[in-house]
Amino acid sequence: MTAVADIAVGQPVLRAWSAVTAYGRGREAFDRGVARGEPAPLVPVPEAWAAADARARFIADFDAVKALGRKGSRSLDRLTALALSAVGELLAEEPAEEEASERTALVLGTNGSTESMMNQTRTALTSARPFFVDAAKIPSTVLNCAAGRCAIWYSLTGPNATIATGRVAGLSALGYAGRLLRVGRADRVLCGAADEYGWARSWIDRAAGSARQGDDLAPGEGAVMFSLDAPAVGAEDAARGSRDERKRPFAEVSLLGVRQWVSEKQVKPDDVRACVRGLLGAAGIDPAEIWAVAPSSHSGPELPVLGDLFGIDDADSICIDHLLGDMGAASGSVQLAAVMSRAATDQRAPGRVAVITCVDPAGHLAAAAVRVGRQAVA
Amino acid sequence: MESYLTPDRGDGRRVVVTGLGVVSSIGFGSKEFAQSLRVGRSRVAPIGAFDTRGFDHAQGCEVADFDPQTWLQRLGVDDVGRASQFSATAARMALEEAGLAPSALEGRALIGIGTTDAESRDLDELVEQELAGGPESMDPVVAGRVSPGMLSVSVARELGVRDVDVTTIGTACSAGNYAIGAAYDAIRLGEIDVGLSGGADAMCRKNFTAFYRLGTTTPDVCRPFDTRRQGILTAEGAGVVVLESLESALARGASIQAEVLGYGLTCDAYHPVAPKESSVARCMELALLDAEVKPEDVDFISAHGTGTKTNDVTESRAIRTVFGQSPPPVISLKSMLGHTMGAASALAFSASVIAITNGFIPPTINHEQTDPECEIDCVPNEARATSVNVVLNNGLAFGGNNASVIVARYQSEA
Repeated sequence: MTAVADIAVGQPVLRAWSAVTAYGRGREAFDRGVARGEPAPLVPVPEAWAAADARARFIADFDAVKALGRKGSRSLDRLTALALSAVGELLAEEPAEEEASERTALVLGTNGSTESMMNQTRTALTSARPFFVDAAKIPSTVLNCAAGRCAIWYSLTGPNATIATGRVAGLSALGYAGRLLRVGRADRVLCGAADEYGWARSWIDRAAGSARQGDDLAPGEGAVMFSLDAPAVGAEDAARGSRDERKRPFAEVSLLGVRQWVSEKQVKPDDVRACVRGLLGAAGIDPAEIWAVAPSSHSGPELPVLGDLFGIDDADSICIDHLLGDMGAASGSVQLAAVMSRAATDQRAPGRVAVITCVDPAGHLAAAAVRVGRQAVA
Repeated sequence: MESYLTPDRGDGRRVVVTGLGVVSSIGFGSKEFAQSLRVGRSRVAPIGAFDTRGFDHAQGCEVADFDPQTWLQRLGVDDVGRASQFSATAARMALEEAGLAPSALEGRALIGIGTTDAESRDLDELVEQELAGGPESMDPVVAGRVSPGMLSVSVARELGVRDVDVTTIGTACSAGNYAIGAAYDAIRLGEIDVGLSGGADAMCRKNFTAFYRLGTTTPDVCRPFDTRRQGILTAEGAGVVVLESLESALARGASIQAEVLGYGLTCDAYHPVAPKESSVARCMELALLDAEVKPEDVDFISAHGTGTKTNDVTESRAIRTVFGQSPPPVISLKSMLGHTMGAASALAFSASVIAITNGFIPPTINHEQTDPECEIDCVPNEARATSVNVVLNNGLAFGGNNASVIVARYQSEA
């Protein structure tokens, strides 16, 4: 049975996505994990990692060489390797055309490999000379390493951007990507976010107090990538697409808007309310159209406000922080993937809107709205 | 000339520059900066930000005497790291010069700050703490402010603006141009009326170590395009500009300094650090296409011009590919500023605006002999008084992230 709904003409469309998370590699592994609702394993962190946590929801069997093959992967930092894997999985779903490489952009939300940056300084300070650092690892110490590597690996010569806004980076990146498409600088954007687990992130989060309490919200890691296409020009264009041959249910969504908010200190319920209202107002969305909400956390300022605005209670919200843990800079993208996952099978979804909110402890809030369009069920 | 962009984008909304904010080794604020550009000033000194023992040389262009207490009005000095202090300061300067109150940004603005290292200076400090006393001794205050997002969040917080799009763009040494370009697009699409755009970076061990290890740091001065150039001087600072829709600027009687005509973005997809000539050329071509400007209309090029062996010859060749046998003058502001990383293309953009409004081409200083492989006129050592209408500003970064922006004299009739 196929449910077809209008895709908003003039809006960028998410037609494909994939993920590399503790649930495994690829969209199906993610779909299965989220559908089952079982938390990803809490794995003992190897002592050699010297991390702050005894256990975490990291991807225990992830290894750059295993994931990407030996060639060129030896010096890759974990973050870059995760991003490369996710882009690879995405391109397996939706290959890039060689002739289109200049019109294919890549936008990655990430805080960079803090691990690599701090390891380099650590090495510098503990070596005989302060410049005795591994030159092969220097590229990993800049924020745009992962995005640049993805371009090299997959020959993507279109606009390439790194959006470094903490936990909201995935939604910020979506906003940036949507703009590239609307203005015509690209025909397709591979857009997503990634974060790695390691000693650097774990100790910084511990020291800053932004490490969340309890095993339920242990740190996680991963990379999620979406394929965002240029807005349809007309109804026929909007109706195109040959996604029906997928093995599992799949939904396309159109990106209606992304809006942000900066709080004085931490994000408060009033901030969430104002930001979401602004988003709906700017995108012309009626609250009655909301099918689902996807906050970044079960606790905190988001759920009460979203429940109040749209009458959706906890049970019907899509929140997976207890499943995959604190995904750091990949949070916003993972949330959107969970929405995509649910939209594929929920019969109430087609034609209706999901609101995703993401809070960063720095006091930065982002909200995004997507409309569910076509569902293809094998 | 064909336009490669969507024909009906933004109803032809024009984007103008109404304010500049500068934090640099050669001046605070646009006036001091302009004076320095005119006389070819630079301030090179032994790096003080970290202990440089063990390096054979460690010269840099630091921002001297920056007292955050003096410049920050709402942020506490410990709330944010040095790079964020720079970006917040430069943003406030730009807004004041534009005659805009922070409240004018609510619900209609984008704050975009580009960077290479974000708060890596703070990361370095955390490492030192960890080495001295174990990871538990990392300072919570420092740990709480290291997210790269803080560079743009700090601007909003310093200005007290809440309903605002805030983005830190981590595309390294071209990031300032990216930020300017993003606001340009957003204004043209009618999403915002005002952009506070630029870049910021703070001197840090992490950065200097990398460039030194790669053999790309010069022992004394930065000599772009010179036969005896040896590399970069690491530097720091921030450049933030106010971009506005023309309607918004005219409606409030703002003083318009220049107009952004367009920009281009390409990615080399070639090598993590070495540039690809054809991709650099293509970036400039796309900028010209977007701006609907012919190569012969460009009065000078503000090059990326790092002063490394590789960049200068690659960039010169790419310029000649696009501009032919007689390209316009090609200058490098890094000769005066050093390499301010994420701030570089934003400061260079600001210098380009100053060149337009003041009628001179800033010099490439420290110049003795032009490398025959760089067949360009680099306006050596002395500023050249001349009418300037159109400038092309290049940013070419590690990771092959290229961004070129075209800025021009504002003419009321397009």
